[in-house]
Amino acid sequence: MDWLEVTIPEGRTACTAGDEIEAAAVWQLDEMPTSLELRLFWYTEGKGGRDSEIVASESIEPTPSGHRTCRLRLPDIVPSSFSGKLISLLWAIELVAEPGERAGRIELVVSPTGHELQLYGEAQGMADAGGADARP
Amino acid sequence: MAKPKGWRMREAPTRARENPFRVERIHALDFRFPAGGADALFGRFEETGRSAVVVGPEGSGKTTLIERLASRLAPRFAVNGLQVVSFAARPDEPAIRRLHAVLKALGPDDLLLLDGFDHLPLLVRLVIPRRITRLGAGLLATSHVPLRTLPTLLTLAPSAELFEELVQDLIGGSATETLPLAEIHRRHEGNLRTALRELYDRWSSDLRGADPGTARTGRR
Repeated sequence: MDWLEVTIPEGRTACTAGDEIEAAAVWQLDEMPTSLELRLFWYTEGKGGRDSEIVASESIEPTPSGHRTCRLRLPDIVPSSFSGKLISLLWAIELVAEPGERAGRIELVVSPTGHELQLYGEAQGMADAGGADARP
Repeated sequence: MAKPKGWRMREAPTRARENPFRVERIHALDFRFPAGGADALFGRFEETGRSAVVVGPEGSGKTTLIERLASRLAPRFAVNGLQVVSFAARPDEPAIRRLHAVLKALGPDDLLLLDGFDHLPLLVRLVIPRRITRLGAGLLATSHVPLRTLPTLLTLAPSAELFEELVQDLIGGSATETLPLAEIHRRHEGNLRTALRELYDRWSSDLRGADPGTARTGRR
């Protein structure tokens, strides 16, 4: 069975724009891949269609099994990880083997605060038990 | 920090990436093929002489069916032997030209999956089946209405039971008990796309099982 995994050696999954991220890729495939690539990218999830962009990648020499550590750099201007009701923007590093849809990934948080930004209005996070008119 | 008197903290609204009805999860649902599965459906398609149409209203799963068939059938065809073309609205001239280029490249035994056939101009709709037949290729199209030029292979009409089954796949069986699924299905006239979007909105607004009218106004 195919197995692909990406880990961050120091476990530091919160990053900011411009950071260099060290990622370790490990794989064990039943068949020889034609290509192996480590990709740093963002993607959206939510009510509408998905959008995504690969901001950095590194090709790895294709072998049925192996491990490799790569350094991927976040550009200086990137969208931050955020979540609202309609859309979330997420970051990940993915090890992709082709052909097929074989991949392993680790999720990151890219943000100046180190946390995913929350896009909820104040009134949505806190509700008045007696209704809006009964606020103290 | 103490909560101000008269206030209570409510759970934060469901984040988009945690909403069980987000579009990525809906796209990952298994398509419910009719009895016999995809192979039986494709067998019936072969019996039509490899030219047929799948008919169904908006949101009934026509595009999903084409996508699933394309991925299942791809290994049976040579490189570029299976072509998929989709029109969500009436195509412009460049799009028509691209369609003609696809047709021109088709060879005998190739297959064109054409989603949104009824969006094409009348003249193009008349020409395509004849051209496909002349080439010895196959055409499986989708349309909102039956067509005179192509026999109907399958009519999609998602039932309330199917809607409930899909929702159960997304949130688990017991969680569906408080949801007025039959009512939502009826209100959306079987349009699964808009019905599932309503459930997305319910989840993100924390309404879930509530009647949306009641929840919004606080009274009936």
